[in-house]
Amino acid sequence: MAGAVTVRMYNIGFGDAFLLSVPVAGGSWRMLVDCGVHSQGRSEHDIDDVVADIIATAADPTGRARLDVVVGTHRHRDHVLGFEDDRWAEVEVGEVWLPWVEDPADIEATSLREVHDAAAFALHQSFAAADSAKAELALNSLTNERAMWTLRHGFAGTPTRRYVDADLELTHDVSGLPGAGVRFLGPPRDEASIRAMNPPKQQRWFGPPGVAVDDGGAVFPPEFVIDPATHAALYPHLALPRTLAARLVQEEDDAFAATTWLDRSVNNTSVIFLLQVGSARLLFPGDAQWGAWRGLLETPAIRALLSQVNMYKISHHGSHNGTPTELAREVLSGSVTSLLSVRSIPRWSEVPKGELVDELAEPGRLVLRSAEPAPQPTRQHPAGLWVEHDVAI
Amino acid sequence: MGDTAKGTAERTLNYPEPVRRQLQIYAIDPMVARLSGSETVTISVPYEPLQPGPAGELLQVIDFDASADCYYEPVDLEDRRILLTDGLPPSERDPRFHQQMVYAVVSALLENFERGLGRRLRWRGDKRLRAFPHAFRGPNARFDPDNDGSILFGYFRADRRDPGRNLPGQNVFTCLSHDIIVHEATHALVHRLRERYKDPTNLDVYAFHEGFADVVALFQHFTLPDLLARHIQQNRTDLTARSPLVELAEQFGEGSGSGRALRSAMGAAPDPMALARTFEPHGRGSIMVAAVFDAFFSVYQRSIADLLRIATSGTGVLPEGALHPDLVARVAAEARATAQRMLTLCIRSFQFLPPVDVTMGAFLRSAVTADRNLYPADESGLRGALVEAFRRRGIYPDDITSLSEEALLWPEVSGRALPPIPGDVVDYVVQETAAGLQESRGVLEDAPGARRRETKADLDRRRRANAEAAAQLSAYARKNAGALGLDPDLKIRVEGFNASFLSGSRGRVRVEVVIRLVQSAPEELHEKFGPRLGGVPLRGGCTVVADGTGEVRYVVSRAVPCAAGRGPLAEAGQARLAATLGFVDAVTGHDAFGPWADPKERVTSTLNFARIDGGW
Repeated sequence: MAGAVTVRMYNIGFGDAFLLSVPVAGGSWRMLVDCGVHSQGRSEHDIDDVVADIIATAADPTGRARLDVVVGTHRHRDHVLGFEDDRWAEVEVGEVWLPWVEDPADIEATSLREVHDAAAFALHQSFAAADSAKAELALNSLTNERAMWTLRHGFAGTPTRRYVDADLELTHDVSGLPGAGVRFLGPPRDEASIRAMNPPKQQRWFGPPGVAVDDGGAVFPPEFVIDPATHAALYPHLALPRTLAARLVQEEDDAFAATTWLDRSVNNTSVIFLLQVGSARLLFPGDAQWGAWRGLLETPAIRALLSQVNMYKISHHGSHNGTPTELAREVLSGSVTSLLSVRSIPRWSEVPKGELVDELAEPGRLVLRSAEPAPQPTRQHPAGLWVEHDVAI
Repeated sequence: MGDTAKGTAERTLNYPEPVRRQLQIYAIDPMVARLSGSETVTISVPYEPLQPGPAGELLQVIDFDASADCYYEPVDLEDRRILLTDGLPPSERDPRFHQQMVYAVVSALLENFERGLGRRLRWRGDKRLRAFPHAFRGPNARFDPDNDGSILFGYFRADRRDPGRNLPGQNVFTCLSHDIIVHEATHALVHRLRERYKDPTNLDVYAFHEGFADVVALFQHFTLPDLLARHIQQNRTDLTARSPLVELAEQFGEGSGSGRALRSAMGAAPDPMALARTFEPHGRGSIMVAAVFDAFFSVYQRSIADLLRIATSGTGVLPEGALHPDLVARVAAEARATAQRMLTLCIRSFQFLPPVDVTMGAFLRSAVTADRNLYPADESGLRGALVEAFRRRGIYPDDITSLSEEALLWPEVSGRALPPIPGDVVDYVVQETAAGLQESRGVLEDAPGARRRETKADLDRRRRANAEAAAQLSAYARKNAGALGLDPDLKIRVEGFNASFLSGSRGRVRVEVVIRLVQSAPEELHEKFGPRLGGVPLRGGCTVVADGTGEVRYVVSRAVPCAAGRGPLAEAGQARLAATLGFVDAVTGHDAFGPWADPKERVTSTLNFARIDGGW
């Protein structure tokens, strides 16, 4: 096989959109991995323009657009928002890959999804008034039902849906690309991983809707209740500084901790796949975080596989626990090219993590960023809409 | 009779002040109490005059409910109507009983700590520990180290679908759980004894905090009257059977929908690899709890073997049917004595624990050293059992070459490596401690006929003398920095000092003077590694243990982290820096909160009492 896999990384902001092309007899084989942006991290390019460019690129001379594979790694807004667009209805798709938790026919998946959705909704409600950035983090985890509908039921050409779970043994064929193979490394579906995706019981945010809500009044009958002013007059020796009184409730912190927990939990439902075309090895881990990587790094055969990767899509926009130090430092090869799709948000200055990017940009390695001019031979859209990188086959 | 009545008006003779106060509490918690059929137990705590609250010298119960923004009526334990009845009878719906239970359980705990430490306890700056029995709505309780230290108890409605043996939706009060009260108060005590253990500098620091609090909560069960005898009878002397004796917070655990007690003394089967896989502080602490209890059970079994043989004509096999009540009483006495010995041993580890960066290995070494000094022979086999139980769970100090007792003991300072502690300071702290043990607790006043009680003038004098002693110790530390394992170029802070009167086997009494010294790494090091450390401070220091003459016997030190330099001190400092950075990297790798937190406190915003005690 000759030629290259061309990976186009869109400058979509804090989010992911990757279009892969491989020359095949009579045209190109194309795959789209995610299309979404975080509400706090839009780039100067509107997501509509990204969608338009994808469809235009995928169109044949008659104007009929076709994608051989569409992957929705996980249901976060910064990965799927673009699928809300109506134009997808005209695009012919061969196969759609989604994580097993999205399978509408799977009872276990459905109940897990319902728990996550209820929590995301409750959390978003609780933040909506007070703190927009935290609300947005919760919002990112909301169902994104319209986009998910497209992925589950939309597109032209009645695509096959493949609900992926990790299979550390087999290589699968890739539809429309003879000779290529794909390994599905995530999301895991063993008992321990499912337990980890389920919320901790103690966390009140994860109860069924309605139960957590309480009237908020005194818990004892009125004869025991004293208002603060009367109490101060009657029992001066028990005086309490107001600052201390205010510290007693830390609900917002609890809710924020729950939000971050939920965020990671959904991230760890990401489809992680390794595409093999000739000698090209491309690793797309979605937003996998620490828990999802652990099992992979503990399996020697998978470590060996990961060490052959020549293009790595940096997980979770470069957060410090999206890519374990061990993966960056010890497993990935000395010549790997890493793609970083992120737009820095001042409030979350640790994403991307500087040390991680430095590690992946060591001499011999290369990091390409979606929002920065790329070195030769990488190509860039004249207006900065995307950068393109070739991985030799 | 007639004479006495006639003379009453002119009488000046006071009644002797009481020594103890009896108070009713729930046996463990309302659910366990109800199920066991004996709702109430009466415990005895040291007497002190009380204001409504109750507010005493060390503890102030303030019933402010932040969720409802109101107070609840405080109990007045001096009211003669409830003095006659050992306080209010247990009630879930009267907040005044809740306040009474918190006061009683914390007071009993403080007494146990004072006994173990061989001295009177004071909070920093003579502040009082504040306890909030109904601080907020939520299935949680926590210790807040800021604002002078507070312990906060939440309340919540039992799970409607899975309430365990509670009513669905009933109110569950964490302040009515003996175990939760002891657990949170122990956090406060550990914080009083080692303030810097709130800094997450290694995987064990919060695990130790949690594990130690659970160990104390479990052993306090053995001090409750009746409970022990009942379970010995029920389980035929087998204390490892699942029973309220060895479970923690049953009502809380079941009420919050988990279907079982929150934690237990009975961990999984010992697995030396489990420690390496367990990062969460409660889980890691549970391994320590299981180890301490394993040691306790084996010593207990040995100590009752003769009783069982006597009772069974030598077979040691108990017959069918109920046990003889005399046997139960004797077995219970052995269990209680062994539990108290083990708890005291754990508490006394604080004589030796380093002022920063505790590890479970350091705890084991400190406990063994403290106990060995008082019980040289280990006749009961307690220390041997403890070392073995820790070994089976993979807990051992990383800096020793064998698990023999000699190797585990902190090394004694040889010969004249260090000059004695200044004589004035030794005299002062020893006298202070001796006087403190004579005092009775109470408000600051000179009550006629009362035992010696500290007056306002005494207090001022003590504060001045403390400041002076601290200055002398600071000068001593500067002069001997090298031998103390401290960096002579960095500021040395005297974090605390005290004397202890400890008693052991064969009437052995030891007077020990303990000094804690702390250093911070230089500012440039904090700046250099600041972003990576995510708020974790770089500190070192040592605990100096001297005998009653001021002769220094032990120096337990943790080198202050440093980046460069030669010599054993610098090497130890570099190792600590590397270890701290490694720990922080590992934590941030696991932590969902990390990417979204303020980088300046990325680690400390996750690893702190509020976050970790989520579900206490």
